Amino acid sequence: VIEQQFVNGVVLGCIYAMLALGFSMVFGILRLINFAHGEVFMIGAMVSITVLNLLLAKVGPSVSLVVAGTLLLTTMIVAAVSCGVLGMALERIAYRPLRKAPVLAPLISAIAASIFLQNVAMLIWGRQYIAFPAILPTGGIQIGDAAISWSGILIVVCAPLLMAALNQFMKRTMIGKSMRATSEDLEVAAYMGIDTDRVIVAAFFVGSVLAGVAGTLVSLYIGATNYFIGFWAIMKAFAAAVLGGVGNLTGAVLGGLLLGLIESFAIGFLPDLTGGIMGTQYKDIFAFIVLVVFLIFRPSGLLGEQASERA
Amino acid sequence: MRAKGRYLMPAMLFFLCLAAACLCVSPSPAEAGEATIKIGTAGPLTGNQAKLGTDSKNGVMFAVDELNGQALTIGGAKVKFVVQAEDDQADPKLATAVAQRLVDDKQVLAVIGHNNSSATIPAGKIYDDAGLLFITPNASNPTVSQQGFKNFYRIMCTDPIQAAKAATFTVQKLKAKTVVVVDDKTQYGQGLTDMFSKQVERAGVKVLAREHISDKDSEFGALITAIKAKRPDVFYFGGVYSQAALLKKEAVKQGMKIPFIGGDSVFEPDYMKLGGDVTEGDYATALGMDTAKLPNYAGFATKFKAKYGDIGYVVPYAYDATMVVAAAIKKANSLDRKKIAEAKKGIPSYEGITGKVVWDQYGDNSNPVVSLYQVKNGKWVFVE
Repeated sequence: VIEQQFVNGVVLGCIYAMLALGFSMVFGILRLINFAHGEVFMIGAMVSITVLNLLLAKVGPSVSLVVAGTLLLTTMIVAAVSCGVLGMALERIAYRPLRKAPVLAPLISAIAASIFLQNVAMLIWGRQYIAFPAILPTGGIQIGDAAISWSGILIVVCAPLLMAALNQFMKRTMIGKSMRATSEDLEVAAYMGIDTDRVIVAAFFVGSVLAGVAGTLVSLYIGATNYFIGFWAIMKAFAAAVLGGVGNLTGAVLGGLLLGLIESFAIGFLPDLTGGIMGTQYKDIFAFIVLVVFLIFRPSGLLGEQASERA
Repeated sequence: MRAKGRYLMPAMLFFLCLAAACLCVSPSPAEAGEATIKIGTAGPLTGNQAKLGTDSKNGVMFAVDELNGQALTIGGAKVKFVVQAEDDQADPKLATAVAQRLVDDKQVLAVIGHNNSSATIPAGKIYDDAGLLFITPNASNPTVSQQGFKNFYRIMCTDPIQAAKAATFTVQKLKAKTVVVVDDKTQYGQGLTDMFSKQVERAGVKVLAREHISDKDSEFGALITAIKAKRPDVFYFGGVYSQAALLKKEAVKQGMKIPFIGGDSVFEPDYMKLGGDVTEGDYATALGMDTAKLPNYAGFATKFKAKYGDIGYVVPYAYDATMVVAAAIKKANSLDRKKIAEAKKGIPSYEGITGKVVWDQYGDNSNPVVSLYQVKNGKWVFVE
């Protein structure tokens, strides 16, 4: 059981980490709590189901593993790019006009954007859960006592790869470096000749791409999605980001993983530990307990907001 | 003065637009001598139970179209039926708000709703205080009729017999020694699992765990791991089909192969659509007779499908509820809420698409029929 809960936690943690990354990136640069990030993730999930269904209609339902992999990759790329574009559009429409406005204004705008996107998704894809096509074989591999499905494996493989890629992007590329500079101080970076508008757009793009990939992976993993999963996602991403230190990318990854593990173990053992008084229904409170505890005792998170890696 | 004028123009324009918008929204005025009867519907039109509410609303609309085709005269005037649909998102708080809105609209003469027991109870108080007749197609928790409502009726019978059916099946046919029970913390789900647990425990079956999920959850990895570790013989779920499908998917993913039983909210074709192959062999109880055995169902379903695509479980119940309302209005021969509610009391039973309903003094259907179904080749098949 412990092994299985560990596996559950790691998979969940990888998802949270991917979401927290995009969220943290934007916060690091703009000090903006981008509540619409969860909705970008949700749109990513929706788009990937639509695209995959279209592709499957062309190829036929029974496909070999190689074809399935190719389709999945194509789907993921389409979802990622459309989310990236959506993120850029959000920045342009919902946030840029308010950049000089009081702090509360962009936050309200973010919530509005989130409600708007939820309703758009509801109109396009309907209100019920929609199924993710069964493209991967059922089953998976057994490690000791723990079973991990193929979709779970995909998450555990993809997430670190993406994070490593992001790390390299931040360290090596010009735009990554300017992103880090901008998050240190937006004004100074602008004086140094950095096109901060471009940097901000890039941050939204990259963050949203991650959310899009997460959208594909999560809906593949759970097997279905619907228009309000974004709300759940943003709450967890927010808690993970605070846990690790908002704006700190390494912190976001760490926070995500920790939160996933905390949740899984808590659900797994809480009912037995408390003699059934606190059951699995308390699953979601852990994210918020973590959030509150950290905001009170260590508001800068585990790794702190000011780490040099911040972006 | 000039500054004032500058604001005046846009303000006036704004109000003009608003007025225009209002005019557009309000229904076209009835023809001369024609009275409008609004039938309120209230159920989840958005949110994760939106399918239920939308199906229910469509059932009412289908009935209303049929009624309008009959060109009825009430109290000497020709009447036109209109549906006033409200969205409660399956949320008790919102339910009271929409109930108030329906009560305030004097043209609303009866309400079909709500679709969730937890929404029906708080909303019911508002309808009852206003003397408004309200009939729920499917809210089946027994506590709804224990509120002392005077103008409340339901078409579907109540959950206890459903839970009893599942419990008997678990004990006698599946020969289970242990069960785990999961509900979605709604009045419906929790009521169902409470009754099921009590029933199986009485038969000596051990309830290993009673877990709860939120009706908004979709990730159940850790929960299933915890349940699997207890090695139960049967999994009973009180909740809606979408989460049932996700739970089942996760269970199969982790290699849990035990019979899965749900209530009537799982008894939906969408359960298989969402769950796919993993739902094969699962059971669900449903209140009412097997639709294949209902003489008028097939014809109704064909007509309904031609108009709305597919037919959900709740549709014929919503249809019947509307027809009962129409019967009460005809009997009252009046457009007065109180008279209609009074006239309903003079209709002790009704033979509809879903079979015969006989109401007891609480408004419950005292003619209980319950069936058990199993998924075979991606379809619900009647078992017993």
